[in-house]
Amino acid sequence: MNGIFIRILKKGDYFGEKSILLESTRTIDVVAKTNCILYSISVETLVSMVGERYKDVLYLNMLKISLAKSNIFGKINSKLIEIVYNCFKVKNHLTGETVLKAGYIMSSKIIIILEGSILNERINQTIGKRGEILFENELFKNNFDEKLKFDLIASPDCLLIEADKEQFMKNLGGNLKEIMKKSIAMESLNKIPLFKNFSMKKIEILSSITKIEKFDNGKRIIIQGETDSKFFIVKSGKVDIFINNNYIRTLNPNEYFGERALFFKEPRTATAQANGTVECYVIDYKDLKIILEENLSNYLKTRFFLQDFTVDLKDLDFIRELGNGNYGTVCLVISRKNKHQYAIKLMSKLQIDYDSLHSNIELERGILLKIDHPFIVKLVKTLKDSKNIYFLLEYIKGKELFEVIRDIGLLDADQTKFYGCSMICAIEYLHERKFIYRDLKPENIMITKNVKEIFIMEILFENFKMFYMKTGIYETDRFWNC
Amino acid sequence: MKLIDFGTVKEINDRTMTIIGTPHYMAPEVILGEGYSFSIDYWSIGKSLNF
Repeated sequence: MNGIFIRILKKGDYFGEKSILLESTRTIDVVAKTNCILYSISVETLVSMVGERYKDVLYLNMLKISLAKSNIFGKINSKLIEIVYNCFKVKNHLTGETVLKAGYIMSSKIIIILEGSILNERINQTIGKRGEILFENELFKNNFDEKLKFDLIASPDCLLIEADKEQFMKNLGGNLKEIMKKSIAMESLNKIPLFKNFSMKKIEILSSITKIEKFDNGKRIIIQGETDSKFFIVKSGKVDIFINNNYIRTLNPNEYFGERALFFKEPRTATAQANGTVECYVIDYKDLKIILEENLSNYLKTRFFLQDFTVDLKDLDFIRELGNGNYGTVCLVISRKNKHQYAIKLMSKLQIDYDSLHSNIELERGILLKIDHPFIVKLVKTLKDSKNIYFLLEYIKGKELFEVIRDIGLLDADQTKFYGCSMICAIEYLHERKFIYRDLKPENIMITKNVKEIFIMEILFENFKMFYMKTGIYETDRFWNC
Repeated sequence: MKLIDFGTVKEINDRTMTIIGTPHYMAPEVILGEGYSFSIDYWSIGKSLNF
């Protein structure tokens, strides 16, 4: 700056945001010290991606980056930060301007330096640098109301984002300890596919109606045949599920059980037993009802048919053949018991033996059983008889994306964004679970035509709103014309 | 939309080598055979939308 060395930027650092945010001319020279490769993005592109609110998006992200590095604020859920973002104000100070006057109470405001640094001119000492929270350690000292003894000035130009501490804490909802607890609960609740797409506000309400209960090894948390109205999410430990005393599967942290009780007044259909010490988040249906919209209820109800482990080969009536794949035929069937339609994929044991595919099929089965996401085909269960192995799957009414593209010609920009985001949702879910898909292509993507299924999109709509911050997607309906 | 066909899915910790997929949509690092990771799925998303 003015020929004076300020700092070295390394891989991953960014620059140039200031003149975009302040719509000013460049105030610094940036010189390559070695061979550099940079990513650059123009304001126009930024606007086309995130909309006219691009400044807020940038400020919010810079705020999040700074808070995430902090010892005190680092553990606060970034979604909570989004909720309280509106109590922050941005301030710009030119070099030499007084930022804080002597007498300022050091613990009254949360001030984050986005750019530049703050100097105590009298002793020529830097008090805060880019990315730092001013007086971070003083903010939450007990009974701390020490006043600043000297004026602090900007040197060089300073871009700050600040909030009144009281207001910040009030909007977050309480004292720091409670906020931390809430943050951790929100994080867990948000990881559950059921709630993943809730707005931050809803997750916040959800965390306030959620209790934590502890169960000792062997304790039966719910008992088959009994009636109650609680919904459980595993916080830590493992929970074994039994039906008629037969072991079915083990649930790990963030998986849930007992959801049928939310919709059907009926005795429990399975027993859940603590395997080791277990902590669960517990939500009572009465409380959940407040925030559960009709869409989500409907969606959950259809999911139940896909979790009906009692469906057996002898209950299924053949309707028609749906397709013929490399290793078997897929048919549409209906269950006489629950009247729900399923797709069933049958593979001949002889063929499997011939191609020695047993381990592959076992692998596919194991992975599919671990997955539950609205954008991924659901495996209900596997079955076998003397000749064949069967995969009982969710029946998807629709067309391959491959055919859709053939039908409507090239996808336009909005359709591309929409399908792209949908794919990212599904792939992100798999990657979070350490699964790599490896064969993503339009032939492996079914576009559902059923209008009723738009509600799934609406559930994901909240998620898309978050995407909006990144990509500008916020309307879904118009993509459903094809 | 729904993702179907899980014949190629694998649980990995870091990287894997197996050359698998459909050539049109495969990321270069899969074809080169020097190991690849999760990001190859994003390459395929791009290819799926751009043909």
